[in-house]
Amino acid sequence: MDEIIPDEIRTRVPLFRSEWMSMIRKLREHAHAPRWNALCGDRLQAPDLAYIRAYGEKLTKDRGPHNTFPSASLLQWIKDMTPHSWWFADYAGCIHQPGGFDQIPFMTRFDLQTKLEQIVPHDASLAGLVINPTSGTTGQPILCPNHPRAIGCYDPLIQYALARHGVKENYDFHKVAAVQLCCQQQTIVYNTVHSVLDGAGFAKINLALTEWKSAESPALYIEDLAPVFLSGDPYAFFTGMQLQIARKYKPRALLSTALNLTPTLRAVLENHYQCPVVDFYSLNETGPIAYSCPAEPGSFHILPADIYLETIGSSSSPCSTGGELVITGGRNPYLPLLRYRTGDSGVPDYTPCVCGDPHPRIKSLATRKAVFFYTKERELVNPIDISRILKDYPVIMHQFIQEKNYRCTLRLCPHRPFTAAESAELVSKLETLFKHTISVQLTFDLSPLEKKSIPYLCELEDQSIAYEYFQH
Amino acid sequence: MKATISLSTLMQRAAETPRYMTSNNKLNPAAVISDLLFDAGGDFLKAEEEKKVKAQFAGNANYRDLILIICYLLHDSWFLEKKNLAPAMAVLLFDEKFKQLAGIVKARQFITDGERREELVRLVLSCLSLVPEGESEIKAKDRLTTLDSVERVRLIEKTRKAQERAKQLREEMARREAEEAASKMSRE
Repeated sequence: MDEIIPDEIRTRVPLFRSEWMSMIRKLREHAHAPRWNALCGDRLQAPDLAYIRAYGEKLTKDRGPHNTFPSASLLQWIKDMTPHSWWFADYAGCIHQPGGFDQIPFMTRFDLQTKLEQIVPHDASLAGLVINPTSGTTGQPILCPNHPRAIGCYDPLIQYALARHGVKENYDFHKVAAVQLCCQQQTIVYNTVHSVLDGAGFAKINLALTEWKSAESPALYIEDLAPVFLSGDPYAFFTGMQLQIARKYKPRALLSTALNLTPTLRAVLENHYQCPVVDFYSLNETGPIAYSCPAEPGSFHILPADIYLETIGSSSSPCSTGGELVITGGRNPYLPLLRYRTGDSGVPDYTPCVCGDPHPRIKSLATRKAVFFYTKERELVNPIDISRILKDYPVIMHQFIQEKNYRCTLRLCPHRPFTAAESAELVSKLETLFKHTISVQLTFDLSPLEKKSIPYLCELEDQSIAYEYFQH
Repeated sequence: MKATISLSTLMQRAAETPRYMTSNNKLNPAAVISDLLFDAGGDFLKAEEEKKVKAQFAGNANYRDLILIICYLLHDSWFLEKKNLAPAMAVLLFDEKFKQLAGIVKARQFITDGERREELVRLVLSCLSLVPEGESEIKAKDRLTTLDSVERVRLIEKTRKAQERAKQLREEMARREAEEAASKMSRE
């Protein structure tokens, strides 16, 4: 007899099938499961699933070399978008002239923060809108409108990157596809299944030990689920290593995201987890952009075929020898990107690669470096927790600096003036995060013109092993 | 475009539009247009064209008044003596943009208000591919863009819609942020 599917699951995973309940129970009711604090699902409807499957097939089949100029289909996409987005109508007119694409002004993070309504198609129904939280490590947190269909495309994109590293798997509701590791003071933790992977399980967990029944629980839980791969940022993998989560279980791959993975830490992780580490370059605004090449891990192949990547030099003009990465296109119906400046930099390489992927590579990719702060008792403080606290305040940009004497300063560029109560509350939350061992000073002198300001700076002279792994 | 008549001369003529040319139900606009085209070197309107004119202005007195003001403006001897402007005038008098203009500005304002008067004169000259005396094409175009009532209303409307959409988007995003997102296996 078919099991009754609870409403809380049916609304979040509309294509849920009753036989998938066994996976939900496995994830949720395990004796060493963490304290779940959220519910989440893929929110996909049948037409979305068909779209994502077709997208996945196209991703594999239509893989040809990229041009160093915008393709006819990209230019057509821009023309098609023009009647729907005021931003495109205002700035993409020059596309009709020869070489007009290069004349289109750039879109920036600041534009996404302040002129989003100009970019989001004005005739798009907002019924399917979802907001995925960002870790905020860029110092300019952006709320990106997204659609379950575009988020659902992460699965085939991830699977493609894993397959390039030799991990090819057929998924169903008997397997746990992935466990995402986080390590921060607070974050949402949930379990679900993904319809795209025929009900394969997925859990997002927090390795912070306050979340578990015992210190052994994270390792026992992960061991028992035996997920195909683990995802997370380098710091979470490093913490997982210390918690010995891979004593008996060996993942087939680690999918590293969000922060720069240093060659030193990559080697340590590969050795410890005994599997390939796939470095995944993905932004909340763009979705996945590139994955590390299996033959040359320091370079990244462009992953999707529906984005056009340019690099611009210091004079903001196209520069084939490297510079800031600029993206046009994508599949998010609420965020069509037109020459979007990512803030990250790299050098494009269009020469053939020995790994066999014809998509060009980004070399010398410079993304967000991991920075950690310390309490006076030398306990690590994750900057993601600072970003999380700041999400509740009207902040456009921030910069958090820890000086050599441990004192911290938070520089802000606010949307509106803070009230005295808000300032006091924010300082109190930050000082609590640092276990009241240091004082935090608040200033409001950060200008939006300081576009290149580094969001997190630690001036402590640290000789710890973590510093060695994350900085070099 | 060709160098032509001075702007001030035409603005003066527009300001002197006789009262009987507007708000006058007894005046037959088809006859006024027909006379203008004939005096400018063209033909009188044919019977079916006259019917078309009548139908065009039915129930739209402001549009009719605006076209009659333009007819008076174009009846200046400078235009008539050219003897070759009738075809361009015929196109101008049935141009959709004047219907749009009449939809947002009272016809009398093109007589009494200096800015609207200048807009009308410039628009009429531009439709005839002429520029005011002593002006370059670029300057004439720039000034017309500045005065363009239709464009101004379009911009106001666009701004209003953008503000409405921004509010709707802000509220929807705040609501959705409070809910759960869609599950994904990697983070950014």
